[in-house]
Amino acid sequence: MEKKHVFDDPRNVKRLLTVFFSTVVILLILDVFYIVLSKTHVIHRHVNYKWEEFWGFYAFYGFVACVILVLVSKYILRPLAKREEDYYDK
Amino acid sequence: MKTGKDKSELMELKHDAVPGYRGIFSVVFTLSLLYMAFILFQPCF
Amino acid sequence: MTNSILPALIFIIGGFMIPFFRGRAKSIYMMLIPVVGFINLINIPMGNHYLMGFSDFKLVLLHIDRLSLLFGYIYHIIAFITVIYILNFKNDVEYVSGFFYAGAALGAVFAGDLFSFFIFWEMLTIGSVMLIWARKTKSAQAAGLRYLLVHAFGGLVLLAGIVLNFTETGSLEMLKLTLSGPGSYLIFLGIGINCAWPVLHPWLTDAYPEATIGGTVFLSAFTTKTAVYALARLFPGTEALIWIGVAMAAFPIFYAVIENDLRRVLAYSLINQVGFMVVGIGIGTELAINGACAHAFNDILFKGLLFMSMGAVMYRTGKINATDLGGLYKSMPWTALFCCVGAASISAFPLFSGFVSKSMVMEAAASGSHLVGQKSYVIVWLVLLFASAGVFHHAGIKIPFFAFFGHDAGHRVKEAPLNMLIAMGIAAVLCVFIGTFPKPLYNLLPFAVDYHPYTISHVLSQTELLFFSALAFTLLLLSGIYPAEMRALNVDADWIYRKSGKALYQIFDTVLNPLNAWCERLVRGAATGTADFFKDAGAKISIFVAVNIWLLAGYRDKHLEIKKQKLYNDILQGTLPAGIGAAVTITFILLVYVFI
Repeated sequence: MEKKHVFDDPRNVKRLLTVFFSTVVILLILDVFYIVLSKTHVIHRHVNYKWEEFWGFYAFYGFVACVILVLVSKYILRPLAKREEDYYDK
Repeated sequence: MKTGKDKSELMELKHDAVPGYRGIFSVVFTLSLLYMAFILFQPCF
Repeated sequence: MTNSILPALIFIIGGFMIPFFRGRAKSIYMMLIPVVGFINLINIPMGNHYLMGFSDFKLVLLHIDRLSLLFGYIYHIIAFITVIYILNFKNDVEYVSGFFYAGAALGAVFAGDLFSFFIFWEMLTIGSVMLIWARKTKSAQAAGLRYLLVHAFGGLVLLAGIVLNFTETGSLEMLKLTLSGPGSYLIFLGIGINCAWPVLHPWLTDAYPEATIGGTVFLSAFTTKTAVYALARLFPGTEALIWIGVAMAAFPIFYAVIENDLRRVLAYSLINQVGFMVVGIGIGTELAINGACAHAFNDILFKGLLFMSMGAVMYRTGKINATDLGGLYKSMPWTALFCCVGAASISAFPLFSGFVSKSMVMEAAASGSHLVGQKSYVIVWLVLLFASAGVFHHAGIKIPFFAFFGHDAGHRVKEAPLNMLIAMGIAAVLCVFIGTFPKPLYNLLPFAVDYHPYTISHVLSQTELLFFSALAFTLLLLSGIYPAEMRALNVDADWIYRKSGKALYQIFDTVLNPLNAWCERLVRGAATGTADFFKDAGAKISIFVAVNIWLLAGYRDKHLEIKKQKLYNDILQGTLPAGIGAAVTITFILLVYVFI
């Protein structure tokens, strides 16, 4: 019998996902604290744009960017660019 | 050694949906998109 | 003149000696070459060395300043790592061409004038083509030939630019050029081909995945980075570069998402990373140039590391397509770990090397947008931020996930060979070290650094960006929207070449062929006419002379006709009576004597 590995056990996958989703939420909570602390000038915050001062700007930008990236690749680029594997040999 | 098991090569590797996540994704994405649009609509300087 | 040796020569000549060694001595000898080179390099003082002159040209073979030194250091480091990586391949062609290639890159980086730069630039092409051909598959041969054609063309463009620039300015120095006049534009374009600018880039994604396992690691380090160096040297602050770089950073990530060959995914992300450097050079402030150079330094390490890990997977399983891989963390845990370090570095996670360099370019773009007339830098910043999220998505997650985790393809193989693990380990340690202690790297940069990557704001925002990119991946995957990996190929800008090539052919076919036919008719008509005339011209002239004499002699009608016919035939067939022939000859000789 082959050795069981970490992710062979679905419970471990589930644990990993739980940890991951919690981290994501914690990051957003941390951002709230950070905004409060920088608004009260406890921490100096250097921003180049007003956008950056919004809660979770980087988080939501990253999320939206990646979803759009995948959707554009899947629904626009792939239909345009995909060819048979031996396309060049024909 | 080189190829491990002799398996025929997959032509396509699909990612099956786990029930329930589609809804979560739609909600999160819609909200994020609206929020992002709102932020970027503000002046940047 | 110092008593140091030209760094390029150590590699090139040292490389050609490799086949004379055997067994363990060979391995030790190969590892010694970069070490000796490095010791030699750190003992060369700043300034110009190896000055040569022929006629009006002043050549400087060795120009040492902070910029060239930075690239020189990293080239030695990556050569050392790659040599350890390829020790188990026992392929002399790969060894020799690898060292030749690395030597050429060193030569180009240290060249103090455009002419010697061009010579080394061409040698780079030769070395890299040999590394592609060393794979010895049919597709590698074809890809190598296409690579050769593109780079031979690029080299010609560069040479034409250098020559024109020399006639314009009378200078061969490697100094800052401004885009004015055909010479500078041609140099710009020639470098751009090696830099894989959009539309000029398909050679890279075409050829790199076809090279040998070690060859790709070499290739990922030198050609594009030498082009980045050349841009930083010759065209800093050229605004066109900003937009070229933005395009480079943005478009390849879309391809990377749908690409199945994992080494090709990395090739696309290579273009994406070079895009950040090109933007930095285009912005041209001290911070931006520093950022571009630091990112080139780091990219050589983490991209090399990623290509090494994928090479190890390919070496053990014989597969490289995402559809054929998965679950390898079970049998290759160390390779998986090193791959994850490379992935974290390229994605610019805090404590990994990309974090301390990519952000310099971002910061330069963002602070530049506050200056008058540079508001459009906001778009640059937004696209770069998009590309930063995207690079984590495809290089940071896709590569490790599809190779080592995800769907288990059932490969039960051995861990990568020890030398490969050591090579990857060195690169991984360097990535983490630079990411954690950026000071030593910052001290090497061309300008003094006043930049602190580890602010709370930067760490938090970057972590947010990356975790939410990962969230996007996770949710898309779990909801079944993530595009399936498919065995297929994706046409790229090569489509433009092929279609425009075909269209050009059609145009030439419809325009030039009729013209050709018309010209042919014209020429042939004239030629046949002339030929017809000259065929019996001698006879006709003779008859004209003879008829007059015969008329005087009293020949008429039939007699005259018979005589004419006879003479005509005699002259055409050369059957004049010997007497007449002799008489003509003698007359001719007499004439010659009289007139000379």
